[in-house]
Amino acid sequence: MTRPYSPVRIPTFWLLTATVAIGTPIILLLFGILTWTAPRAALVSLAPMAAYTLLWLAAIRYVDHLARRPWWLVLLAFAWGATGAVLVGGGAGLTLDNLLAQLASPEFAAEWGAALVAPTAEEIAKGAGVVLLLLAARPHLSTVTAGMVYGAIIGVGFAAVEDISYAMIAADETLPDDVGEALRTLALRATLPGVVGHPLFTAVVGAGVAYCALRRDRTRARRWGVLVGASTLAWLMHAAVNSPLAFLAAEALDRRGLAPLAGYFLVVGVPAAIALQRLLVLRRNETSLRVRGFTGAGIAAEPVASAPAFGAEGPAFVVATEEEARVLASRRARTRTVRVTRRRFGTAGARAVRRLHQAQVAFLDLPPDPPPVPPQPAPPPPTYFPPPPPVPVAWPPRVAAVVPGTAPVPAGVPWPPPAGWGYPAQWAAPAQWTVPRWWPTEAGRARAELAAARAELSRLTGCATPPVVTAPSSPASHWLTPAAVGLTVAGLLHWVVPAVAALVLAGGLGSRSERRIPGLITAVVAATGYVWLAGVVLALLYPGQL
Amino acid sequence: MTGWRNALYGSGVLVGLLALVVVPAVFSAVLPREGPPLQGRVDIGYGASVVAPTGARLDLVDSRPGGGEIVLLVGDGLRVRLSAQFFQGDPLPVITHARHKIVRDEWLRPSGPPEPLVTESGLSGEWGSLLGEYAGEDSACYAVLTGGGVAVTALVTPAPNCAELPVPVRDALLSIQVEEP
Repeated sequence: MTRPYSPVRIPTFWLLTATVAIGTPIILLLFGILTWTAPRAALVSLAPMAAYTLLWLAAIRYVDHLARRPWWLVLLAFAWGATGAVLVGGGAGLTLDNLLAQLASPEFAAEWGAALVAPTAEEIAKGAGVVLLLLAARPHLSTVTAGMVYGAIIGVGFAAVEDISYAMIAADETLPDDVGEALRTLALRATLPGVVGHPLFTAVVGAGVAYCALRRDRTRARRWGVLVGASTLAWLMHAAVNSPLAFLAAEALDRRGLAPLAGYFLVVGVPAAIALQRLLVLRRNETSLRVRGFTGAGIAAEPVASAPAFGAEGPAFVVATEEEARVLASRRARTRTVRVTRRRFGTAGARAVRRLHQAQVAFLDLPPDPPPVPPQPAPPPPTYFPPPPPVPVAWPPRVAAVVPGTAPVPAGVPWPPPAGWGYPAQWAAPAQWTVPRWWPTEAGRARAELAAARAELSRLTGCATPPVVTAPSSPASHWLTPAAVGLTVAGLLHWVVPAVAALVLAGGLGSRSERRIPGLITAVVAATGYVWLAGVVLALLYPGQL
Repeated sequence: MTGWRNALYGSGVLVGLLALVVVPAVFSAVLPREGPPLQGRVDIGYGASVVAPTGARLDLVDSRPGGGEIVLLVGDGLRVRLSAQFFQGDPLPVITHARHKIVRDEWLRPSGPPEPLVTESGLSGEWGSLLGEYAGEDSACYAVLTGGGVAVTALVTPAPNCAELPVPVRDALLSIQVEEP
């Protein structure tokens, strides 16, 4: 009989926990030393770093609204990113950088070491965390989206330790305990790459690892190809952030009086925009596939052999209607439904809708019921029957017996012994019998909760389904598509115009000519650069509608 | 997957990560650490540069020319570590903090008050002698120079004191300059 999953029975869980346990005091020692050198900077940096970390985790939770991730697994992923990945990434980064300096040159290592070595060492260390989580908690990482989510959490842990370390090192660089320098470093590292950071890199790697491990319906070549492609994309994004190219692009634009940051964002943002769009589409497709199973027969079509109190055989059990499934798949639609319900039926109604949604979402991650105990041969009949007890000596009773509905029996008349006195003539044992299940299954509990949620909703709103909220007409049909076209043109202008102007006026971007581009062109190009960035944000907000 | 196979795969991942750290270190230890003899001016970083002493070589592992730190290997075991970084405002606190950092991080203590130092290019600062905290530790000579918004720190080990520095090393310290961007 297969035992239900428990992490304590998985060897890799203990390997992972032990590695985190060994790494944690090392990281704490590192922080202790940095705090000793810059105590005020450490104290002041802690709060913004914690807020930034929580913001990232909230964003991941917002995107991953349909799944219930066990808290211990989230903590383990975060801890791996903050300890094991940092130590391995840092150690390997150092040794690989030294090797690069010896094989190429120290000048090359100074210029390109951060772009070539750090992405290699760090993405391998963080990606290995997703592999270890897959080995340790396979039932909780059953989709590619789960790999993406846990990868992002590992990246958040890594970024938290890395950023605060850099901030405290910067605080001790030129002046003692320079709080301003620490905050400036934190702000730069948090906002300049923006969403293009370790959580995004490792989300891509995690999705690739999960695809390779879980999509057994695909060919081996495709699975490994996706893993290599995802890892390469994550490496490219990380290398773009670390490379001198981004700063060269900013410098080139700055030299011409143009918006320098736009150059940085363009070099850093292009691979990141591709990655983010693919991840959001992946999440949307997987979510739609999973909630599609809710409608019609639902996931509990097969009857469950459980006690009637916890579930019932019979007609198929429907978890959600088509409309409810559509709402469940979209975080915005869920929020809109709760808001509308609150407006019509008050806070209690809104709470009931949220309870219904949570009860429906619970069916997505139901663990499989433990297999029933197979039918067993009936126990053998007893071979020895002790003699039946004798009829009482004081039989018949001396008092008159009255049986309702019959004539009273006068005293002294012997009664026949009660029916069934003694043993049956033949022991009729069944050939086999099934051990009944008297405890509730996960599916039974989920059904009971769903039924209770619907009953509460029905009581408060008069209907067992939430109110249907018509989504606002697709923005793409109104202004988004024309805006996207306009923004794309603006983006192209932002790059084409200065390139052409530089070629015409100054003979090339690398020229040291003193001839400057006319101010009007400079202003227009700078404005279109920031407008183009707004287009990137729109593409991220509406990934499927442009 | 449970049992021995799960343990094998998990251990394999961890061993692979360990190899990622150890294998490059082994290769690095086998490869030569010293570069070819240097000639002329060597870029430290942030606009700072130094004329290398005759016959000096670059420590390939610890040096990042242009990145803000280089280590020159001079003669028979003498190490000259030079680092540069930007700063803004009054140079005096920067110089004081640089001295404090060297004393704290290298486990050294000043053997006397620092003396003023001015280079050929006009950078000004201080230099002084340092002794090891514990018996048997090397003594050293440090210098901190500022100019053009850049602070350059030099540490020469082993050196009994700054007055007894070899002439090529002293000349190298005096040749430090900072180019305006």
